[in-house]
Amino acid sequence: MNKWINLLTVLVIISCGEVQNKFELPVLGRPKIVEREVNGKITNDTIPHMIADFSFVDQDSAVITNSTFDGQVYVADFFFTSCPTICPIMKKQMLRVYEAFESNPQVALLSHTIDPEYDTVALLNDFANRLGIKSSKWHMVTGDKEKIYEIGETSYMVIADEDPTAPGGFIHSGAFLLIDKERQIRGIYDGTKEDDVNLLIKDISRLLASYAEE
Amino acid sequence: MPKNNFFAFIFLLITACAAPSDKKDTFIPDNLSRRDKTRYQQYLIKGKSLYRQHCSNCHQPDGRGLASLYPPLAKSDYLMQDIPRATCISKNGQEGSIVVNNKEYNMKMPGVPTLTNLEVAEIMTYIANSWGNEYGFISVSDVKKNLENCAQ
Repeated sequence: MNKWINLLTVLVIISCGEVQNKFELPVLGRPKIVEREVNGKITNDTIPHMIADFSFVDQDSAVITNSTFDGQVYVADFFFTSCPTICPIMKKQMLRVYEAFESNPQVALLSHTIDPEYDTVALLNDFANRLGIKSSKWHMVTGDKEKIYEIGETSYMVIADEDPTAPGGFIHSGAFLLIDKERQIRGIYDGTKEDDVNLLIKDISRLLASYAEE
Repeated sequence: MPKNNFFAFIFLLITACAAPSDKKDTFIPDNLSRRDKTRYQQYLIKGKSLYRQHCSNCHQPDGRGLASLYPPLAKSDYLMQDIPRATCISKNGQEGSIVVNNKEYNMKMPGVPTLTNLEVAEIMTYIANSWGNEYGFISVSDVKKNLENCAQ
């Protein structure tokens, strides 16, 4: 009897602990298959899903493109400053990611506003200052509305759209996306849930470790 | 000693994965009639659930606000020095710069115009008596009077 209880006790302790297995993060998104002619023969090339080219402007009026994140992994999300629903929760959670990697130059954050008419550079600058963040680490970008919605839907695979019936006037996903140095999506997390963001923070470290091994 | 071990195991089971519970930090005034005391308790419970629904995204479940974006309600001079003003803000929203506990804030707060007077009373009673705030009961008739005198 005693033995069993001790065994059970150990099991309980183990089950409450965290699983710390090493594993490779998946590459997400549907690959594109492209036909290509090589020496007169047609072959199929598989091109993995990648974040398309973009060019937006951040809270310091700096132009932010894909190459801004050369040699960095980054976390992307979509929000708007006047949003009363999930955005404040997302920003609080993103702030945790920011604090976790504040001194690591290999990690950056990219928040897109989906309300560029209201969220001007000046307003994003004020918002970022009030949040107490550095623009070199956390870019809050605005730009052409169509381009922002398009990259959201086709590259990051999240929903972003105007909807007059929603509180604040927009609907959008609360997802955080982890993008690697090859512009590929390596994880999707619910930016409104603390547990999911804990996992994101761990996954960023895992992803960075995979580069260190190379 | 198998019996003792068994109880120790049960205890472990109960406590092992449990999250720490909320601290009891609500003010209970002692000058209320029995009827108002019951009402007060009900308002606190309903107020908390309404607060979680309409307010805590920005002001946070612990009432502390977020950085310099969203002002605190916990031990907030701006809230506690003018409950009628705060009552108006909770329903009608607010725009422009304000100073809370010597810090400037300037984010537009949307109102919740669909709230009934009872719901406003429940929210106000909850926030004015939680996280170290000690104001006392805010009744529906208080709210009605305060809302009639809101600055336009």
